[in-house]
Amino acid sequence: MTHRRIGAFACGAWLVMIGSAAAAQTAAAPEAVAPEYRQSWADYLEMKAKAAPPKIPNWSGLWRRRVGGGGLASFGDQDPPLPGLRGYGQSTAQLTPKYKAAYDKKVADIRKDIEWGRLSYCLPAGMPRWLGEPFLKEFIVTPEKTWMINEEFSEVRRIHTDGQGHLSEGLIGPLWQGDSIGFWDGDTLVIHTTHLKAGEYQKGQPDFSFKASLLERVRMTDPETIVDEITAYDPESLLKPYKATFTYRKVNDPALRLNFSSCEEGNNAVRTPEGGTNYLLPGDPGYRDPNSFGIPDVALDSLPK
Amino acid sequence: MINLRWILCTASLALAGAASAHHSGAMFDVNKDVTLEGTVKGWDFTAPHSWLHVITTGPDGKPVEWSLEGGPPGGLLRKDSFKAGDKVSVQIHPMKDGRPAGTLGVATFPDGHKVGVRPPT
Repeated sequence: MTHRRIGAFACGAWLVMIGSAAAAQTAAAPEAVAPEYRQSWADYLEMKAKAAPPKIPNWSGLWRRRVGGGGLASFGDQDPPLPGLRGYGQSTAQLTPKYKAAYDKKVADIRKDIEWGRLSYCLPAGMPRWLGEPFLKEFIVTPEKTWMINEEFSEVRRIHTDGQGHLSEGLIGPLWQGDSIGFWDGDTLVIHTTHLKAGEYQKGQPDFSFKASLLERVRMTDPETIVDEITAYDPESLLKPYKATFTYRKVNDPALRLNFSSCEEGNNAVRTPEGGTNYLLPGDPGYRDPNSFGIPDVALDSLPK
Repeated sequence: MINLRWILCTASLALAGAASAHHSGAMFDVNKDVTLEGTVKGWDFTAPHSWLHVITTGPDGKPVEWSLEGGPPGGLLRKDSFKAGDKVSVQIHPMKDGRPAGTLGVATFPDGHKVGVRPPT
């Protein structure tokens, strides 16, 4: 072997070694999750140990949430209606006293028409609220990664199923969709999600903390139905894991395509002095016409009629 | 001229009321069903909510523009669901504060066809 080839081989070997070290630094070892995630992680690993060989399904097409008895403002199919509030579900979460008090106050405020959500700022729903939002959804499955896309705010979840663990602590902060990894148990996608931004499960529903984590089992039960069984864990807000089921039905309309949409272009929601929500209407100062907001003046006359 | 006609109905709207939105719907009176008759001024087929703007005639005979919040694209509504100049009869939940706005429910056209009726699942 010539000196040049020896040098090239050594350089290549050195580069491989550096790359491997970098990968190890970014992918956490299986046991190295933060304490607040250990219960959900243990349950995830138990499922993984018993998993059947992968049988990657076809989840192509568009999907829409099938609403349960609690209405759209519920977390899952299992919520019963909240008495006196049309379209709101009664939460089945077993909450800690602090978070129970916050939930009771939230519901009491809603009964007085005092309700404002961060989505009215055009902030995303994030996980796990993503699951319960209306609007079209799309699921793109590959052996290494699954993308779950919601038409609303064009929110994208990415579930890494290539065998890597969660990103290491210190390299990651709270994320709108969390850090999701998973595996296939036959044709069921099992997902573990950590590092969530604190939020609420759905409007009118309880809140969760930055220490929450999620475990999901997602499966197509028939060609027209996908079911997501989720368990939320949160040492701050929950006395016990909180289980919910979301059902999605296929949308068979060839004229529909999922497209990017901008919340801001037509966001006319305003917060009232009392903390509620109201709308600016055409003619009000500050009203945004979604047809012209952000469009160059010179192009306005080309707007399709 | 299409006259504004207020009809209080006991039947609920085909589409969910305030709670169907990603934001609070507390500004709408979901316990009040009203039917508007007017002419479409514009149809904002946008996300996260579409908006139908309808010109009706107020009690004083002057035109009133109503702004009605509908669902997102991909739901029961389509870009060609409405066009400027359409005559429509629309079921709404009006705003609690009395301003000319509300939720967009089922719309009925002079030929009898309806928009916003949820198909059987």
